[in-house]
Amino acid sequence: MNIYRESIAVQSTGMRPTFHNVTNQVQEIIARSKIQNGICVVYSHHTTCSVTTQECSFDVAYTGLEYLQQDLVDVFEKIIPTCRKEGQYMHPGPRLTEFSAQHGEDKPGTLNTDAHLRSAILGRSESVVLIDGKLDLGEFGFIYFVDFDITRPRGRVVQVQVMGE
Amino acid sequence: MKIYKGKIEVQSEGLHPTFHDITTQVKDILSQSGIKNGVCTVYSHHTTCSVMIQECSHDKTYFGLEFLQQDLCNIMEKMIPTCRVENQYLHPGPEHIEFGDSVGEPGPWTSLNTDAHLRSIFFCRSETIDLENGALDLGEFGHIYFVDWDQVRARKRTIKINVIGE
Repeated sequence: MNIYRESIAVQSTGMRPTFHNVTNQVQEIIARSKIQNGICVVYSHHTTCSVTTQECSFDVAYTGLEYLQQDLVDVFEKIIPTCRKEGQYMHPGPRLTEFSAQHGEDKPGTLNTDAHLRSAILGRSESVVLIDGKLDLGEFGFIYFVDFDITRPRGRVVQVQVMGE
Repeated sequence: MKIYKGKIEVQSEGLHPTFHDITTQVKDILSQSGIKNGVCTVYSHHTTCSVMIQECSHDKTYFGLEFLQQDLCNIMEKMIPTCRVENQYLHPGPEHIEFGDSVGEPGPWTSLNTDAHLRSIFFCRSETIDLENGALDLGEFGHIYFVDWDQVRARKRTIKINVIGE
């Protein structure tokens, strides 16, 4: 049984939720791992981001998002509206604002409550089954890293862990 | 490759969803495992509970919920309102109540946790965390929370920790 690990760096736009298709990079990491059978965990520690596997929707909105991604954002907008100012949600409260200031984050940067809540629903990782050197994504599956934080453009890291033999 | 199993027991408060910060206990199990690289799965079989990785929100409500947790509860309350009486949702139906009786549930009111089952489905049953050089990759601010959505009574719950790697 072997373990192989690499990370992928991505950059969000900050204008709107960003979807990064990391499928090719994950497949290249699997090829370098030489592992043929097991699981591949695609994980991100960022608490305003998520990993999801979905089909490619082909058509792209003016926002640059594939139609299905835009639909997902629209659904989230209804249930968890974009955080536009303090007091709209309970978070960020005064202690969090102070804690963030001590860690170099200004007040506008803490107005990402919507991103935390959306990310909490979609979760932090996906585990994909690896069979004979190939990820089982079905015929149409892709792996997307989603950055829900629209307070600013951010550099993000996605971890890829391949385990098997 | 090694596998190490641990478990954590917690006690919910009832009355409102309970969030347990189990980060320290998971880290303790991890150090007992001696495993340095691989993954750590935090899992719960309770179908009205979830595992979530989020930042600590610091400020707390009068009930002791962090602000971000209360925001999450408020969103859930809109989407999936708290189950207060039978027939508000389809579940629990008569066969389910009969089943509850047969397995010794203290009363039909204990099945009025439909909201908790539905909310738990959204957040799922586990999180798998990347493990590198003996440290869980939780970033600078990540904490591991076990969420008990069941508000009908205070309950003892078990969380299973599986560390796989070398």
